[in-house]
Amino acid sequence: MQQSHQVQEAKAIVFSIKDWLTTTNHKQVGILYIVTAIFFMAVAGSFGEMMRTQLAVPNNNFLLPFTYDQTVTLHGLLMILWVLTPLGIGLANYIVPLQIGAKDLAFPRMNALSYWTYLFSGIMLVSSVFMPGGGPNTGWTLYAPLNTIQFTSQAGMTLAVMALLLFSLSVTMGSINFLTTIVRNRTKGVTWKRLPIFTWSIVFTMALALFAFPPLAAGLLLLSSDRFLGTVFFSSTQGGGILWDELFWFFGHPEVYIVVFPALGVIAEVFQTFAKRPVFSRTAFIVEFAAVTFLSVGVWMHHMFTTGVNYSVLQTFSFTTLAISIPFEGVVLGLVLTLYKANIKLNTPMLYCLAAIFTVTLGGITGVLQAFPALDYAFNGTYFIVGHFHYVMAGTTLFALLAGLYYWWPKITKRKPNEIFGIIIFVVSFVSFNILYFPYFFMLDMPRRISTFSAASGLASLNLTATIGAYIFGPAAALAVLNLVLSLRKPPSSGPNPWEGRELEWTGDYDGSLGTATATAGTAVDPPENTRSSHWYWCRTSSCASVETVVDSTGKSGYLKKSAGVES
Amino acid sequence: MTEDYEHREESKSTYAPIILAAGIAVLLFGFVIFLPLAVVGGIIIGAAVFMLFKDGANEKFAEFKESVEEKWPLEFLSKEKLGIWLFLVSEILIFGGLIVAYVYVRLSSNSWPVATQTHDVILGMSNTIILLTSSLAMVFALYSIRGGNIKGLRIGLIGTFSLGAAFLVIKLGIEWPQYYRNGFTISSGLPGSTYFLLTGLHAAHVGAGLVAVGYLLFRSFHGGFTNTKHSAVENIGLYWHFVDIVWMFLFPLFYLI
Repeated sequence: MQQSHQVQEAKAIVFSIKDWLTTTNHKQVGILYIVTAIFFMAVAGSFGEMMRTQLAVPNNNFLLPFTYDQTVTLHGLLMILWVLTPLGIGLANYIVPLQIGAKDLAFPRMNALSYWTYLFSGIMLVSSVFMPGGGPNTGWTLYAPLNTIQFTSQAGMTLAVMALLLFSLSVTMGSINFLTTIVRNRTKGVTWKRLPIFTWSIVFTMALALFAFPPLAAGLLLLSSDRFLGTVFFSSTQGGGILWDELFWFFGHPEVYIVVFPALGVIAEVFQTFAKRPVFSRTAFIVEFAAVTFLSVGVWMHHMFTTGVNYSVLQTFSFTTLAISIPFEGVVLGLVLTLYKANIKLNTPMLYCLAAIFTVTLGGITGVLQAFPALDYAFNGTYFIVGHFHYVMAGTTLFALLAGLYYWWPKITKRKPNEIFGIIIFVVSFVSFNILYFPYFFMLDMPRRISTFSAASGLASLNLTATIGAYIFGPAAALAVLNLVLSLRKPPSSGPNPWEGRELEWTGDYDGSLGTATATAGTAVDPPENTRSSHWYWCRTSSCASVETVVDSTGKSGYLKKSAGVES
Repeated sequence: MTEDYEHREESKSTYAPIILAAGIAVLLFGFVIFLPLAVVGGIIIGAAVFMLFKDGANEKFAEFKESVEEKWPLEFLSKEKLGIWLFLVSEILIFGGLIVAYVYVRLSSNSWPVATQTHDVILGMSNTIILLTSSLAMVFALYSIRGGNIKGLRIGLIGTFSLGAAFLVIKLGIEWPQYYRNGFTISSGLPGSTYFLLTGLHAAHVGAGLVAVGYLLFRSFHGGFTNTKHSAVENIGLYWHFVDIVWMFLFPLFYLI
């Protein structure tokens, strides 16, 4: 009896493993994406902690220079490509079909293929460290001619190039899939005007991914040919290094937006829900989003100001970089103004999003300084830059995607994570984040990617502060995830819509189970009559009726309506 | 845990994606550490592609029916066709990146051999004609099945397949060995590197196209196409014409200027 029970249990486990291996369901694939991204985050975070340990004191010998170079490279590649990008894709996998009322993505099998290629490419990259001769040690930019066989002959480097190729394939397939789904599989009633902001952000993300990853793949093909077949594209003295720079940054700068757009989409959703109003001037917000997308493919050369490009190129790309900051500020201001005079609920997701707004402001301002070639000459290759992009990546993107996880966790698991624990972890992680990265803005004398510094440089106390921050921030981020996981131990506790979210994913029969489409999928959603507002769904419930009245009388401004709603 | 997803539709699960992804990973892994492993990867990919062939021919995943939907502004495109067009966008960007790299490398080089010295224009020209004709055969196949003419479809597809294969035979069997005998190789300098890489990638695309046309032939002999149901012919046809168009760029860039 006992044994047969065990056999049954074993069968159930095997069945569920088979289920996960063969699934093409967007919810399950989304969960796989999120879990895998968090796993890689743990790996890449450990690399980060190792680097901070090495830099805790001057002239440290914790990591040899070669080992340190590998941790720099792996930390960067993993965090940007294998953690932040797929975390956004994972959330999109789960949420976008629900938000547009589609049964699944347009090509479910290709979606599964995207996930598995992503997983295997990540395993390839991490295993490159264990190859004889070590892993890649070039930094995540893989600059030429350092990336050629003459300078990095180890097989681990070649394996990393292969991993990147496979990852490009994964993201390209994903972008085709999402764009097709959103263009062709919206349920009746979900017009472009009514498309939820998070779905809009995924449209722009995927459009950029479709544009950016193939040129990277082209560069990687040239690089593989250099490494396998003895060609000399990147070791050539006639412009080989610049060729790689061009191909890499043509991908690399849009990649920044591929990472940050889903985060901005999450912030907009969370602000809408917790401030109980649509995002400030929704149409303008989306137009600004589109403008950032459009401009972001024309700024890549600002990563190459110090490569000796000629003066007119400097001027052009300085101008485009300043130009892109205008719509981007519009997006951030739109988010901030959504909160103006609103009745805000400060739950965990909301707190993370507020932190993300703080960090995107600081990270953005320190970034736009680089648009001026003169300043870029001074800041390039210093920890100031490191601080800048960590505020955008580790701050904005990671905080906002964590917020997305907390926000949609009740939808995914029927459970609400512990609120008090969540808020405590948030405070700790936000404070330690700033202890970790704020000192970087003062380390103008410290070069990037160098494994140690001298005691005479006067950087010891700043570095130690950053290391202390890192020792708190890492575990805090882990605890934030742990808080989510711990909620699974309890029985389902949350109602169908604990945050009172008003986008389509919260409606229909409440069905947090895996693998079934919601009742809204594939059925027409009737827009309320006489609604002129684009954010029609916001005014479907009775509590929103007062808002709609004001919409109909004034017809325009976003926050005016809601401030009237608050007063009423 | 299991009752949570017992509503899952069984037909939607398949091992093909994980096997295909594993195959590609093993192939790439094999390139780096141990070449025979790459062969194993190739075999795994072949098995997965065969699974996809079978699923496609049995229409295992075809019952996914589109419901009432907002499609503006692309009401006239099926989702498969939109997917193919987006795929072609990514292909254009890969080839575009490589062609730009070629032009960049050529312009920044101090010297570059005259095309006719290193390239056999006659062979290139005949390959151009062959590939163009194969596109014509593809169009013939599509128009035949539109009229319900299954025999015409098969003739057109066989024509496409043979001409595509002839292109590869001329390129890989005659032209490349001739260049190698002349000392114009992939590692003989940037002119050779760019030529062999770009046309090699193009040849790989022709090869993939042959597999896809083979799939269409396979399905046409299993009664898979009718005058109303033949979207796969049109979609794979789009890809085939794209590969043709890429050659229209590569031929003058390498053989004529």
